[in-house]
Amino acid sequence: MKSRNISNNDKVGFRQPYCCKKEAAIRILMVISMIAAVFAGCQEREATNERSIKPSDISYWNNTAPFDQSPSMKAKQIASGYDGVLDVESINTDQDLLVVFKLEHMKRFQLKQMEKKLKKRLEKTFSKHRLTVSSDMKIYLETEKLAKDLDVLNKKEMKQKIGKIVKLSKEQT
Amino acid sequence: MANEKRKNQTKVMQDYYQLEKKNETKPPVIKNCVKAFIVGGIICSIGQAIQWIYIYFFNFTEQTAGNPTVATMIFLSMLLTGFGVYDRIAQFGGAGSAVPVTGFGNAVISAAIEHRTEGFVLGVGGNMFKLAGSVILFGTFSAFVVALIRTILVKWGGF
Repeated sequence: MKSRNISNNDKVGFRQPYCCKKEAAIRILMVISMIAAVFAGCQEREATNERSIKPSDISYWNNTAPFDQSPSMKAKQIASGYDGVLDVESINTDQDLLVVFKLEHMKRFQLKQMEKKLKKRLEKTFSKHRLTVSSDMKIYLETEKLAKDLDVLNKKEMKQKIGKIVKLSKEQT
Repeated sequence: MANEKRKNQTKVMQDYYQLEKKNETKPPVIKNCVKAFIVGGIICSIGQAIQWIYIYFFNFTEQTAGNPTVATMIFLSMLLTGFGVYDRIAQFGGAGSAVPVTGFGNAVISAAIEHRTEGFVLGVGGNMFKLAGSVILFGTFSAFVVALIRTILVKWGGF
């Protein structure tokens, strides 16, 4: 019994270094592949972002929209001129103007300053509108959705929907 | 300080210290750090995914989605602790599983499970926050200090 135990231990002791090396190699490979995946992912995102910087998609600004969308077009042009702004979405009624933008990831440290700066600049041009400037992802998604549905909405519905988005953007908790 | 103390020790004590130093197994610090990084990163990615779910499918903004996300993460870690899964994750990930907010859930439930035999009121109720109490205390205190510094900087520093 004793001798069998010793021989088993010996076997384990003999094999261990090989197993450890193999395990260590697998682990190192896993870590390297994870790091590579992270970098590859980042690169892909940057590439798609670069594509989305290019001229804003104006296909859905048609004449059937309940309100004239030229103020929001102008606001879009102004906002997309800022450094680090990747994408801008904007909608307006006769009273409200909603401008939502996406920032480059590393510029997100200056998100609040950027919002303030843009709001100040837009207030100069659109003094007659109630201006809402946001960089929130949810507000961006909602505005994008509303912009696509512009031609099926009437004035009342559009005002209601913009009101909802503005209210959502002001929520704190 | 430590060296001065050692000089005052007897020779036997010093010899024992040397022997202890020679034979003690060194903790694999770098390996543990890498493990913690990976496990912590995975937990945070899950948190981010939950936040996105709240933003995409519910009426939460980036600012308001934080609270339900934290609550969900704590709830999930509490469930996993109850099922005995989180212990295994913690054994592998170490600080990577303790530092995120899921570690808080784990601390609450593991203390509750440990003291279950002492009864519901004095056992579970009295000891539930034994570990998590310090998290709450120092969390609140550090939040207060940070808020104080920020207020001073904003009000007087002009930032």
